[in-house]
Amino acid sequence: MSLSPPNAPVAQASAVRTVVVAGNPNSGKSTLFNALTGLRQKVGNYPGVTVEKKTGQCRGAHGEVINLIDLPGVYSLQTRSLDEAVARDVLLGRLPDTSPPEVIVCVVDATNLERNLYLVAQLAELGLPMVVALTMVDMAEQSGLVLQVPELAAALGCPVIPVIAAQRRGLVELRQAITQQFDGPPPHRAPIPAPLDEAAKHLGGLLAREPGLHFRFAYAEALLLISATTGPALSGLPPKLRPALETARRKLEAAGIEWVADVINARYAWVQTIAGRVAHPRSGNAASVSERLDAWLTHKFWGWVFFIGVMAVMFFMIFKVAEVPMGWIADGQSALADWLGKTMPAGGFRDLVIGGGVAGVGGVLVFLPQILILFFFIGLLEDTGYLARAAFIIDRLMQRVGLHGKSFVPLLNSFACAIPGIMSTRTIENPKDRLVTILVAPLMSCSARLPVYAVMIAVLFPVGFSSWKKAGVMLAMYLLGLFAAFGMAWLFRKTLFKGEHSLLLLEMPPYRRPSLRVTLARMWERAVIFLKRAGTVILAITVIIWAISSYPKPANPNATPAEALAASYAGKLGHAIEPYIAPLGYDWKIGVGIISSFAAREVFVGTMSVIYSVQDGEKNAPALRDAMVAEKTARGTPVFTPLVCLSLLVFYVLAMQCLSTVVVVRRETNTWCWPLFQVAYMTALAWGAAFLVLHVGRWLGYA
Amino acid sequence: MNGYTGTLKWWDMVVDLLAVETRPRPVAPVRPLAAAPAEPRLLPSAQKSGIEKLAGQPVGRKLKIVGFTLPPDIYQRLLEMGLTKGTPCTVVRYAPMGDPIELKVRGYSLSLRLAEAAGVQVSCP
Repeated sequence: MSLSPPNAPVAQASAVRTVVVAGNPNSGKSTLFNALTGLRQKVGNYPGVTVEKKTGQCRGAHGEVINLIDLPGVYSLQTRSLDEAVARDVLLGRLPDTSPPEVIVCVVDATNLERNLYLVAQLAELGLPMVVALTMVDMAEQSGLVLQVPELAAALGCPVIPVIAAQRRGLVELRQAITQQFDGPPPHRAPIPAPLDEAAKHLGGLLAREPGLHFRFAYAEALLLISATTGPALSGLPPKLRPALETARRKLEAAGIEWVADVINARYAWVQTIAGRVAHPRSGNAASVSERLDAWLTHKFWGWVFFIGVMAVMFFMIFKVAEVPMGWIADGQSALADWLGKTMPAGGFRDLVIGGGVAGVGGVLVFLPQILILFFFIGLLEDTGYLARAAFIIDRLMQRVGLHGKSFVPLLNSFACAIPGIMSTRTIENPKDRLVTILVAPLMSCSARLPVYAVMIAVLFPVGFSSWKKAGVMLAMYLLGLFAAFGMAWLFRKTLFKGEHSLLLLEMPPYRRPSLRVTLARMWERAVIFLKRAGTVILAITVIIWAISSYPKPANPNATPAEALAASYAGKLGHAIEPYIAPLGYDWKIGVGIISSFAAREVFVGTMSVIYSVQDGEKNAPALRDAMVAEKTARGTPVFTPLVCLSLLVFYVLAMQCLSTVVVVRRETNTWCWPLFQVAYMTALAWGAAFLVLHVGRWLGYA
Repeated sequence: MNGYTGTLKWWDMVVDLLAVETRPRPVAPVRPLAAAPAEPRLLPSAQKSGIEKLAGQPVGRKLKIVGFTLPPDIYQRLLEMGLTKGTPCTVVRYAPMGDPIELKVRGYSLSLRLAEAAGVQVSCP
């Protein structure tokens, strides 16, 4: 097609060209994109990791600037998931902030030729010039495959460039090919059965008259629409063309064409002949390293041993090793606060900087070691290919409670922090599976609950109790969160999403040696996303919580901090919610603690030390513990009876007390309805469970 | 389950649990129950060799996909992953808890749940 916009290619060598990089998940697309642009970017082995829009720039053969867009890894353009919708819309030039592509670079994994060429066949229908970047050529050769690249190029009708991105081989040739393909000819298309072809041309003609679609894409879009089975895939269809689509489908059915399947069959038939011509297996298929590893790693006994071992190491790193840098950050934060307290002039601004700014930044940074370790491990598991095996092993268990094999990692992430957990649910294609995972993820005991658990357990078992008992209660709290998450997921599946089909289609990529550089780069990239998304929210909320717990100032300027807090808005709020939490055995002081927890749950500890006038309660745990144990009600009985402690622990396990999570859920579900529902159900669950603990306990005769 | 002839001893079960096989077991020539005659026969090829469900097929047996009894959107997704009619495939393994199932198809490994695999009809050429 020479129907491209009339701006001549040679005269405008300086104009910025747009090129998209498309390809299957696990095809090495992200590695190639990094090598081309030099930008740090995600590389993964777990299907669907690149969901964000990634762009970068490189230079073409004549030094012209090329704007590269990295598409999400997809198997097809038929839209059933978010990724595919994004890929389709970028390619069809539908996204307002993205200029339509002029050349498609399609990344094809040479070890997995047929399924990768399927996407090539589908992209070819767009009629855009294309370059095929052939990756994993070395691995294909090792596995005994002889590839005839010139034949492949001839069969596809576009340049095919073998690349080994990690060694920067083939990149110059690739850039040259891209430059040559500007305004070049479109590649060959798979022969489509005549009735389908006619139907697509007819519908395409109608689509081309509608605004919002470039006419050159009308044919491809028509083919996608004709074979679309689900609602989202039909989003590109103007309502008035709906009858035309129905007629086309009826005609096809009359002609004996199965519109769901026959386009796909035709593309695969074409691809299969090409692959058969250009790829020849050289040797017999000896069991590959991957197959031998899988015999161990997905074994019915050793598979579990390895799985549990990997998860245990990850947990140990997140909770034990991260403690060291977390201690440094906390020390640095208090040192900075002390220094500022001494050097800055006293007043509202100093308090804002220390109580809001430093505390907020510190509150964000203190999570960073755990998040970095977590992302490092996830990246490592993705890059090696083990993550897909983990989903394979655990899917049956997750399925039983209405979750998904791919829900496992987000839930595991949520033990560190629900925010990266919820962010990582994007790997789940099915929206309903994803939503259920998001809804239950905050029930997992995140690391911010740990200090609260520690304080409450210390109050529950003050002195003279064995540490086994304490550890047992701690473990029970973690298990309570876990079982609550599974139970709620099961309940949601049975009620809210009744009859919704959950689907697992998981590619098991061959095991690959991870590259430390790539894994570290991605870890950092994800950490930056976390800091941007969650950090700003945590900071803002910390400032707000600081403000409501510092204002209005008490009338008496010599008031103790405890009196000042009691007089503040937070204190008033604590009094205001007292009637609602009194049935759980809590007084207004605990109410203030609960309110301050909305910044981050561990703030509870700080608030408690202010309210009980304990100096530096975060470090001086025994002092805080003794103050809490000594606290008496108006009638002279202790406030923190064992049952109240337990009830409060249960409340903290189950309550949604993290505004940052609420904001992230809003962002990920794109509606306020789900985060509000989540807050409502978790609050009800927490209140109900805490109530039960207290009253059943009393009924059984405990205090 | 693995061709024991005698009575199962507990240590046999332990040995079976711990055994790792790096290549597929040879498949016994005995064919499991063919499809009941009441089941719809969709394709002419089904007359020669019985249509069976993909779920429950023994590991390592050479299979060919002949049809689907799945909702259109799932059916289409499987097609796009390369499970078109006439494509050869093999069950590589079942997950430790028996579900999902790992397939070798078009030179790569794909896992799907038994629920979907039960809707994939295969023949044994």
